[in-house]
Amino acid sequence: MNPGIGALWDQLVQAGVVSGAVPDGSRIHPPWYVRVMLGVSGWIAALFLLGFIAAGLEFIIESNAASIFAGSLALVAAFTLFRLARNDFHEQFALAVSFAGQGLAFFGLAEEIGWSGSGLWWSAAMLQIFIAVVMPNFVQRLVAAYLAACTLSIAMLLHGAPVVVPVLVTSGVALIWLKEFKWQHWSAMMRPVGYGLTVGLVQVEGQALFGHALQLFGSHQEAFQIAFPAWLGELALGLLLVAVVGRLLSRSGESWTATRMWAVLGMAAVIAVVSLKAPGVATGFIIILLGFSNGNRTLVGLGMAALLFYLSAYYYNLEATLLIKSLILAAAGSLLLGVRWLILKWLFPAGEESRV
Amino acid sequence: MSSKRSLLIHWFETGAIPADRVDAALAVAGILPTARHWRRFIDRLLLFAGVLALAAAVIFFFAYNWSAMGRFAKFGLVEGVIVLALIGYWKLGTGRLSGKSMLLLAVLLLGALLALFGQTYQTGADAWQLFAGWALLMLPWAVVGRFAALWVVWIALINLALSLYFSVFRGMFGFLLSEETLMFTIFGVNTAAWIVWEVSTHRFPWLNERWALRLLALASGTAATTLVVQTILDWHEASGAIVLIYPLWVFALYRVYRRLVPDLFMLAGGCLSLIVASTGLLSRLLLEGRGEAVALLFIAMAVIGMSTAATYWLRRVHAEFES
Repeated sequence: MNPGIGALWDQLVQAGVVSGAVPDGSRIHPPWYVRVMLGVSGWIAALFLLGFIAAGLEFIIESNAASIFAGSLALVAAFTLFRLARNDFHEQFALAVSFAGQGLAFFGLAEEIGWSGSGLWWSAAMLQIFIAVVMPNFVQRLVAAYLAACTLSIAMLLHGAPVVVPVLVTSGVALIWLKEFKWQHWSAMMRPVGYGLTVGLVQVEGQALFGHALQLFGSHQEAFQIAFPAWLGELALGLLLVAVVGRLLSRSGESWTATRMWAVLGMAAVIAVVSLKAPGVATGFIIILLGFSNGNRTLVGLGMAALLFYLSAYYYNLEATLLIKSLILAAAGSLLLGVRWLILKWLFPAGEESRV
Repeated sequence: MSSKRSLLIHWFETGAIPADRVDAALAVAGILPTARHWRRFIDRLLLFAGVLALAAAVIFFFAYNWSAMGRFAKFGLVEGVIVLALIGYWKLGTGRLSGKSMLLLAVLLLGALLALFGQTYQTGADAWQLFAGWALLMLPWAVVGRFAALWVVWIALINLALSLYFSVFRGMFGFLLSEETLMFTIFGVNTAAWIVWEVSTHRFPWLNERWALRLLALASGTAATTLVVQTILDWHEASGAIVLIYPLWVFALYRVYRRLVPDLFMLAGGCLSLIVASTGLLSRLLLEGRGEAVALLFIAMAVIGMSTAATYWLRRVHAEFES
């Protein structure tokens, strides 16, 4: 057995947190690149499977109902396999079957409902949410959460309100990561969904910035349009940032009525205002703060990458000239540095004992 | 740290740590940040964001005014920033990360300067000459800088220059195989750089950056795998040299990274390369004749089987490395 596991367990025993022997089956998960290999191989196998179905069982492809039915059957089979999976082979095969089933069902739906219009994307989103909840597998849940965010975004885009989804997804992401160590029985589902939604959030927020994404789906617009102006979305995200900062502070013992709390909330509001004009800042900061508060370096890295991504997207944004954007960025930079100075010199000077 | 974290999560999910003791467990393991950590983090985060915003503001401003600026203004601007970066390198300390980052910035700006030169004076040079010139000019800085990232940039530039060179001179010698020659060259260059780098880590401790070696391995592996798959699929037109080289490459990879310098990433990459190559071989053998549907199913199962075997082996090796 790995000595690192034993040492950690002893630490916990000594602190009185747990008692008894190290639980069986404890093992360190394989590193991320092995997991990536797993996911990629699952996809390659699924493609070949789909090819087999297309080549050998042509009558299934030709009928929409048969496609959907066969796809659902495959998903049921995948679920059973996931539950029974005792080793990597079963897990891998189930992943491949699941992806192939989803592909089949999606194409059947598309032919039936029609490629244009939001109905297809709503259905696809429902399917992905169902899969994320039901399927007991990390990689599958992560991908399903990501696809759910993307398909919802497309559906809302067709209804004319692309910024609703980033707000919803950000709320979900914040809830999940704030409670990361509180979900005990749901944890196996929440963690991959959290990661999938976070990645989906970065993509979806970026897409909302590229206003011309609508052209990708033809200029088809649903009759039912939701009027939700873009700035309202950014405002909501800014409010979420303030809420997250407040929650993190109160979680570490700061009272909601203390002056310091209000000062920090005020500064978070300043950053939120920056985000109104330079979209994406609030989202990036939320991800970074949530990640750091949970000791999750992956999340912090993701948030920083998101900030850089939004900055590049901002360059191509056609809503204002480069000169105006330059001035906004200069103001934003000065504000951020000013907030930093205030926090370091006045609110939390070095050497002060703080429970934060 | 991240494996401690995933261990705690695993124990928590399986109930080994009771729900009401989770906070205590996290505190004992030192996973959550303390006040000191937070302060340092907020400090760095706001500094990073603020400086980034200001730098972007400057860049955007100059982009806006670019067409209106005269020739000398443009050159003066870029050269001025390079000089500033070099002063920063000197002032911040040539041994420290901040100083070395300044040097990296200067090297990147050097490329911008060369591009500006080519654009302004319309020399008629090809794109590959830009990158080759850039690599040549930055070489002294890479030698002096003692910074792994600089050497990675240098090798990337060599790769780019070679690729662009081949795209220009493709038909020149009447070689039908010039794409294969390009792949071979990329493979050769990156593998040579990889070997030299790995051997030099003892002599030059600042070269000991796993991420750089992994990047080189990625380039070498991608080239090798592409060559193998191309040779398999285009049996009559390819030179077939890779058939001899590839097994040697895999064998060397195994010997070095299993025993000498334990690195799971390299082994995982090697496994992936073998899986892709085998899939190519199977596709070639089985998808020619009739019974295509069954062949596809068989290949799917084969892929699953191979990657499962690989994962199982990697898990065992990982456990061995950790103990």
